[in-house]
Amino acid sequence: MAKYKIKILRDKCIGAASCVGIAPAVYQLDDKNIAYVIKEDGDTPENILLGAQSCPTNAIEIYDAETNEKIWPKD
Amino acid sequence: MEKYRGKVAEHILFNDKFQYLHIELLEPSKIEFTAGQYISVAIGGGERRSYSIASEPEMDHAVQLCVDVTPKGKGATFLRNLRPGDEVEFLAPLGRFVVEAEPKLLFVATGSGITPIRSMLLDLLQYKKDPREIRLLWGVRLVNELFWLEHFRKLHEIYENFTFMPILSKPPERWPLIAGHVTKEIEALTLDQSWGVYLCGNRFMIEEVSQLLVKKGVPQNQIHFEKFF
Repeated sequence: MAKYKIKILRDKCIGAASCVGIAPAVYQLDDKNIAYVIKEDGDTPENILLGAQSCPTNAIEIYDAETNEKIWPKD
Repeated sequence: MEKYRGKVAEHILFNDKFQYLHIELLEPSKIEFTAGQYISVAIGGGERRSYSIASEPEMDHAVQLCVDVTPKGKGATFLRNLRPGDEVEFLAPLGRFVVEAEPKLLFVATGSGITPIRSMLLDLLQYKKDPREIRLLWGVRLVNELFWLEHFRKLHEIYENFTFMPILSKPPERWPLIAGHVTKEIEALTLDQSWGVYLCGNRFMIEEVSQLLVKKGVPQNQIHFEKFF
């Protein structure tokens, strides 16, 4: 089971693709240049989180898959 | 991709807009990357921002960056406040904006979009002695926003296959070179399917120039870009 649940806020994504650079097996851009998740456990939990943290608009939210606690961004 | 620690060795404000940083690597002490790639810098609070590498891959003990520090965002503020001796942590190398095998190369940059292109040009010309026809168009607003000008002029003098054209959108009176936007110069170029085009700058320039290039016969898969926001 994946450690994290990933939520992409499509209206905040500007297609910077920094998440894709860090974890390309998890994040990709669609034909509108908006990020989407291809495989929630496609990389290490560290890289999945780093990919979210690299987003300049905080368009990726990371939740603990078991507890549903929000890991990123920190409110 | 690896996690690096480095120390700011040099911090120069080129002008009101662009800042240059030389980061000497601490751990690991060497880096391998392809010209055009970028790093993801930890800017505090767990957040990261992406910055293209300006230095050439042959310089493996440091990375150099050039960043537009006028935006008020967290990334620009973090970089503006860095001083020599400060440590930074970053992930590298990242990105797929790298030179391919097309017979002729056109580089188009606006503002600090020149950063990864500088790395590519140094790598191609100085180190690989690449014989392909290589053109650079670099657009900024004002004359005092230009930097590395002598550097590109020298490359132009030394390497016959390289031409360089700075373009100002708000030129001073009697500016002898091209005024306007990079699209104006591209419209005047004869391009075909032998060209690979590398665009780096704001998204509006990239969208506008990409459409123009397709109309001029450059295949879509030979238009490469890195968007700066």
